[in-house]
This record gives sequence, structure tokens and C-alpha cells, in this order.
Amino acid sequence: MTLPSIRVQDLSMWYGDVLAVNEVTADFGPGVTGLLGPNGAGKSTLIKVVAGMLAPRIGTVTVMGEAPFDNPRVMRRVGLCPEQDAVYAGATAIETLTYLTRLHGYPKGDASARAREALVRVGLEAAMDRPVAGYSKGMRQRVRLAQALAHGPDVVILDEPLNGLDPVARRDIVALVRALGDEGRCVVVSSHVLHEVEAMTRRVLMMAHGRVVADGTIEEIRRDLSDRPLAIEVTTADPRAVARLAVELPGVLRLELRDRAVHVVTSKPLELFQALPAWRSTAGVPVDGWRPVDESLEAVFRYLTT
Amino acid sequence: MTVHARGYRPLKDRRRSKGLRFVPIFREARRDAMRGVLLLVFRLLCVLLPLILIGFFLYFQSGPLSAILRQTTGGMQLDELTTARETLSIALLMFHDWTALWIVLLSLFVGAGVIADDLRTRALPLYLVRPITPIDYFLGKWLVPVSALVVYVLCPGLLLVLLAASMRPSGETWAFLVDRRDVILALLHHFAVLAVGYASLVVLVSTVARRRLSAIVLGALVFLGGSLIAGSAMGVKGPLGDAARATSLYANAQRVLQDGLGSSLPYAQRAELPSTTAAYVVTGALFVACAVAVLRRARTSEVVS
Repeated sequence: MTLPSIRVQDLSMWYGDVLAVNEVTADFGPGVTGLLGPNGAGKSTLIKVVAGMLAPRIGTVTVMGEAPFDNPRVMRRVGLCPEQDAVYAGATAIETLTYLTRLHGYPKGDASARAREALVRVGLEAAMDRPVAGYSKGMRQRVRLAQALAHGPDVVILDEPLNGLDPVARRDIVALVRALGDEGRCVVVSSHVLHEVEAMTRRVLMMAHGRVVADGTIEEIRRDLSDRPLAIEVTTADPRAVARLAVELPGVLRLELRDRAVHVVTSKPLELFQALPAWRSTAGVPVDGWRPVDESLEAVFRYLTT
Repeated sequence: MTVHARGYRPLKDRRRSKGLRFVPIFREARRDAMRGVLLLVFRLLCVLLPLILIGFFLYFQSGPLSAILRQTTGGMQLDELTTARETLSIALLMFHDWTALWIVLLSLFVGAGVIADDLRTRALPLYLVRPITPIDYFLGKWLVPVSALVVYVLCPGLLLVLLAASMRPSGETWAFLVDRRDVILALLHHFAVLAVGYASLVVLVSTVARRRLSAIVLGALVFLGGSLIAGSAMGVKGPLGDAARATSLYANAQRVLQDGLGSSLPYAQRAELPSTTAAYVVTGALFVACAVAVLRRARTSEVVS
């Protein structure tokens, strides 16, 4: 059995009277994990502890089997892409990355080669010799991403990596993040834009008010919420007939008629799933198909944080 | 094969786990601090002009140098070697006096941004997640104004000594340098006190101010405030007066220089200076305060929270 790349156990962190992280326990293995939560959920504090920037107040955090705080052995293997615009505007991208890679202990030649490779990987090969001052917001974001990758880390932590990127760049970066996960690196992507995370991974850790409110794949989390109402869209040429039958079923809480569809919110979805084929075959109601519409991350997140 | 499959791989590439990790930080920070044509012109003018002028006076034994020498000796005729020795001492004191204000400004322009720029651009997390220690970060940044002062304080002084030695008759150059090794030691000593004091102050205000311009203004106010306090303490006896006079970093450096050169020169006696002990204590305290402030800052990311 392989140990998780990052292990957080009973972690609590606070700033003065503000409790930022409250008894969090979580494991992050190889592949991409989305770290989700609204502002103030404790994501950034958790990231700082995992990246070795803050020492745990209570609890333990290990990265590759070692405590990360003030630990150069761990820091060599961690790459952090900060949310803030943390690059030197006066220097070129290649100069900036070469410098930051040298701080990992690489000789100048090796650092330069690695920096160049990372910039090519994030799609900045044409602009790497220009001063960062002239870069767009999206290009600066790519520089931040490249500096997290240049030293070849095993653990990559990306804080809002798609901020400020245009659609094409988003697609490229999403593909890059997935590729990093496929290479076996432990990639933690923090975001509050749910569909972005959904495009990168199905595995998420959701936080709210400093606590972990869900941990697993989106589908697993949704299944665990079986006591919650589920919204199901039934596609039909006769929405009124379907609505008339559905309202008779136990657990149906709300019906919404739409053009060639009925939106059913029910606390007993199994009853509906069993009834739908019967309506089609015996009652002659034209049911074309059905699908749950709130297994999306957005819906799960809404359930958990409200 | 993935990382997952092979477990935790050992580091076998060319990364160095030990060594002078502050050197890249210093080089990058120095390059950043020295950037700009205006600063280059200022750097050259503020030191080069006084150096050329005083070098001219020294070479031709003329101008204010000879006037001060006459005042020093009361018109008494000195032998050639004594004249050369005394003229060199006066030239050194005069150079540091003339450049005092420019060196303060230069220190502020060069050093004010070393930490403040990292705080403003929120680049600190990029250091905190790399395998460097806070001491590496402190040394890399603190040495930037020190290195500038090597070029603009120590080197001109040594050049004047070499000029004075080169003016000796053939064969006496080396003997003059050996004879005046106390001057070289005094210059090194003066540089150490001045560089530690100035660099610590500007790096400290850079850490506190978080903006380059704010750091320049705050640093200038601290330098000015120190000089005003020192000026108002003229004639005040006892440790309190001594401590007040030591708030002027320039006066501290002058004290050390005069101690090294010999304090019999009237040119050097225009102002009352702090004691050597007070000069050392204040300089040391400033260094400790600067180190503590930077190390604390380099250990926390809460500034970006």
C-alpha cells in the first residue's frame, strides 16, 4: 500500500480569535484533487500549512511522509502557484523562473534549462524573453504556474490557477493540470469556480467554515446525500401528463413544467425511477428519457454549504 | 512509471542541498535595486564628482586641502612626508563629509525596495515555499545596500590612499602604504560601522513600510530625525547625551574614522561626536533590530492573508 502524498490529521489553525481551519482530517493521493469552498472556508490556510509556509497549531500535516514546515527536503518536492500576482514585473519570464529555480539548488545552466522547459509547457515559449511587465493577466498567471513546475515537484498546489485566463488558455491549463495528475503527481487545485474544478477532476474536498464538509468523488458525495431532495428532468412530449402522474408519487416536493420536459424535485427518487418506465409502457405517456440534473458540483456544493 | 507506483523517489539530480543559498537572492535583489539610468547617473555623480575634485586637490596640494592644512599647523612648515600624511587624512575626512548626504540618499534608493518590493508584489510566498532559510533571505537582501556602499564609500577612500601613495617619489609608494596602514584600517573600520548602520536602517524601513517610496520617505525621516536629535544633544554631558548623539549614524561612522586617523585635526573637530562605545552599541542594536524584523517577516505568510 502506498501512503498518501499529503496527510492532514486533526488540523486546527487560527489567527487571533478567528478559527480558520477546524479539526480537518484529509488525505491527498496522486492525481488531481479539487479543494473547494467559499471565501473564508479555510482553503488558503490549509494550502499554506501543506506548502510549509505555516506551522500547524494543532494536529499534524505530512507531505511525502515528512512535516513540511521549515523543511527543505519537503520544499524541494512541492510547487506552489499562489493566487496573488507574485512575479517580478521588471525581469523577463525566463530570468524570473531561472532565479526561482536556482533557489532550489540547481546550478544556473540546469535552472535555465528547467525554466525554459516549464515556460514551454505553459505555452509561453514565444514571450519568455520579454519583460513580465508587458504581460497580460493570463500570461502572468502562466508564469506563476510555470514557476511551480520548473523544479519538477511531486506535489503541485495550485491556488485559483484559472483566474484571469481567456477560454483558450483555460482549456490549455485544464489539460496541463490533468496531465500533471496523469503523471502521478499529487495535484491540489483550490478554486471557488466549480465548473473549473469539474473540468479537471471528479475528486474533491469541500470546505466550509474551516471544516471539511465532503470528501470523495462528486458522484460519491451526491450518493451520500440520499436524504436530500434530488432534481430530475423528465423529457417528454406531454409535460402535463407526466406532471399529473408524478404529483401522485410519494416524496415529490416540487414540479416545474418546461418546454418538452418536467423538472421533478423529489426526496424519494427511486420511486420516480421505478414509475417512469411503467408510465411509458402502460399509461402510454410519451416519456423520452430522464436524468438527474443536480449531480453537478454546483448542486452538491450548494447542498453542503447552505 | 508514476510517482504513485514507485513511491517516494530519492533526489538524485544536480541539486545542491548545502552552499551559499543567499547568493542568488543577493544577485537578483542587487540587479533589481540597481536598475534604472537615473539611478546610475545619480550614483556616478554623487560620488565621482567629489572624488575627482578632492583627488585633484590632493594631487596638486591645493584648494581647501592646503588651506585646512595651514590652519591645522598654524602655518608651521612641515616636512614633505608629514604633509602627505596629513593631507591624505584631511582629504578622506573631506570626501566623507561632502558625500554624506548623497550616501544617505543612495542607501535609501538602493535599499528601500529590497524587502518592500517583495511585500508589494506579494512575492514572499515564492521564497517561503523554496528550500532556503530565513537567514538566506535576510543575508541576500541585507547585502544589497552593503555592496553599494563598498563601491561608493570604501573604494573611493582606498583610491584616495592609492593616489596619495602614487604621488610619493619613486620607490617610496609601498613604504608610504605600509606607513599609513592605519589609514586603511580606519577606512575599513569606518566602512563597517557605516555600512552596517545604513544597510540595517534601510532594510528595516523597507520591511516596515512595505512600499519602496514609503520606505524612502520613512528612512529619510529617520536619518533626519537622528541628525536633529544628535544636533540638539551637543554639549549634553553623560550617557544620555552620548546616546542621543549616537542616533546620528553619520556621526557614529565619523567617530570611528577620526579614531583611526587621529583626532588632532581641526577639520574633524567641528562637531561633537558620540563615544566609540555608543557608536558600536547603536550600530549593533540597529543590525539586531533589522535581522529580527526580516527573519520574522520571512517566517510568516500572514502578510498575504
